[in-house]
Amino acid sequence: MRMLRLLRPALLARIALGAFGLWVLSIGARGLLLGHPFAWNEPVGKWLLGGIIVHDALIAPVVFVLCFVLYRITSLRVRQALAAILLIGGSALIVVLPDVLRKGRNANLTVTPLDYRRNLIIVLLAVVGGVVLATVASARRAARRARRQAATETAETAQFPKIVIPVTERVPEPPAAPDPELEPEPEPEPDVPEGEIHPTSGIELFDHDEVRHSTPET
Amino acid sequence: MARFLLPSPPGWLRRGPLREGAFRSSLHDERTATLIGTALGITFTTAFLTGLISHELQLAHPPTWIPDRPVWIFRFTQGLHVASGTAAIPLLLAKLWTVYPKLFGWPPVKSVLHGLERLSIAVLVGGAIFQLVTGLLNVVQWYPWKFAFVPTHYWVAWITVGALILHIAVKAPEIGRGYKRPGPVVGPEETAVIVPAESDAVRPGKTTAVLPAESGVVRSEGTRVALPEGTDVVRPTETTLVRSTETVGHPASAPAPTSAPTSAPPSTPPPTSPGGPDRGRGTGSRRAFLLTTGAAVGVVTLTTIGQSVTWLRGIDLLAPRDPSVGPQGVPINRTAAQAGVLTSAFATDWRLSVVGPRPFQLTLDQLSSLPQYEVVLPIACVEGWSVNGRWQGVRLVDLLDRVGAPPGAFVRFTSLEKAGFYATTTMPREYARDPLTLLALRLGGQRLSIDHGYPARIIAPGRPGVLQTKWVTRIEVL
Repeated sequence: MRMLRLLRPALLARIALGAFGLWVLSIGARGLLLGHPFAWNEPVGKWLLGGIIVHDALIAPVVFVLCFVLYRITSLRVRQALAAILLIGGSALIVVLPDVLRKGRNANLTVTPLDYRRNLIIVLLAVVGGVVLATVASARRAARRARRQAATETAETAQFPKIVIPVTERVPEPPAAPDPELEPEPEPEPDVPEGEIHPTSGIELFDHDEVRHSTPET
Repeated sequence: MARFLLPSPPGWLRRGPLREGAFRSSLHDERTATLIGTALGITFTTAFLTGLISHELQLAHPPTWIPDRPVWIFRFTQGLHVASGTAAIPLLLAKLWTVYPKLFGWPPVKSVLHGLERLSIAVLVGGAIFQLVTGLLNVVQWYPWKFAFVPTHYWVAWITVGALILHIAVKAPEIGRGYKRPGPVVGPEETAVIVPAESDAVRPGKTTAVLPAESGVVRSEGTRVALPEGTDVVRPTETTLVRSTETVGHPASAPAPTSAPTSAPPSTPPPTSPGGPDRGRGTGSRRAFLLTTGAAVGVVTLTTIGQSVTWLRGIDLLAPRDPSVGPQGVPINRTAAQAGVLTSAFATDWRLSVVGPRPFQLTLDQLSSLPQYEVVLPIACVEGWSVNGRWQGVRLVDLLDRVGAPPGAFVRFTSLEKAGFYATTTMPREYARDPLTLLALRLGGQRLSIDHGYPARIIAPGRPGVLQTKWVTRIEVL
């Protein structure tokens, strides 16, 4: 059975692609080990491992703690804005950092000829300004949408004053609110005939469609 | 057991990021990883292919499949090489953030196969970081390491791309799922599904709702939603009627997956958000995250691309070069002082030796009295910067004809530089016989500055700058 599974075309294609990747990788590994003086490989190994260690042991835990803290002390909108500033501004900072550090240290004056500190400040200010503007615009859009929605709801309520829904449950305030996606199924509703009072909510129960159709007549 | 399962480490080690549900954002999902991974894969592939072109052009016998026209071909490929590497920086940051919960997966190694997969990812991450860091430092000519940049960057590129191909093969099912557009998912910024009720309470809360059949499953995970008066929060069941809401997180026209019918119970796991009990709560929308990543790519590209796209020089704020800064308005890669030619280049007994079947020598005055030609050709450096120059000098083909070189001959140039990787270079016949290839004596109407190769230098179309040999003293027919 196991052998038969290996014969599936999709799996075969994946195995072939993986083998091709390993072959490409082996070209590089062989070239590195044999293609230049062997003594160079120790510093190459250090820099290769150094990148992994800096990411795994330094950057990733710091980012985790940062996200953990921000999640608790900021709202979603502020968090999104901070994340945008960090990603855009941080990328710009990484790109320009070698220029800032090497400015004036190269005998060739045509390398790093610009005022990188000033330019970095300009770029970062533009990034912060852009993110703040985008955040404000997004908040305004959301508020407008909520107002529109409220107006629609009010109109509907006026038109259909007796709209009743089959199940109503008050949800506790977040963050105590557990994710409804992962909660157990709601308990089965008691079989209440239409028009009767719901035992827990005290609301009169109707089939919604019927309510809509019948309301104008009432 | 074919998968060679390994025992789990003791549970008390499972703290901090190793805890279950430690990562709350729903953006650590397959679709986000796939979309950003695709962009990152494109930049790495572009950098690899353009890097191969640069590598091949620098061989003593470059392959003939790389054309020498248009004259700016190397300017384009190498500018693209550096630009795609620069663009990969924010993409790699975003990709690593998206998938970093996997770094803290539990148990760390489930089986031998899982261990090998993690090892291949370590190779990919290590190689990717190595390539971007060494490339970024090379463009400012900063070499704080004890290996040669060019061969190492080249070989590690093969390792990284090989690990990338392997990664795609391993993750193919996840990538396939990531490309499938899920049903519309309502993000936290979107309006909650609200239904008028007889309650007059205005209360915060969060809702989950099922849309009509054509819309698929909808989740709304806002933190606090201020509901207008006379509304209540609805927990859906199969019979609940709710109205469709705006789905800002996804285009409303997104086709609904057939596996998500209207009657899906609320406990159906959302297609995008597996994970712990709090997974996804208070998370920004994927669209916002992708837009932010795109903005980061845009910012680093636009503020650096001016070093090769000269009409964008005005916003060249962060690039290590300004294409207009340098002697005679053109940057240089290696100064005369660095090359150690300050004395020899100005020596009065300088002669150009042309060696072939009928060898001869010329003084600078004799060279200047030969028929002069003017060409506009870019000087394009492997470090990404490039700029057009107006060069005047003697056509190389005229010198080769005079020395009696056979039509198919390669040519070797020797510089006054005593040391250096490019003190002697070889030019294939295609470039040597090109009527645009000059032994240039002047740039922009003025005699070559010492840093640009006085008394004479080579300028040819479509060649890397390091092969446009400066301070030429000998031309040899091979």
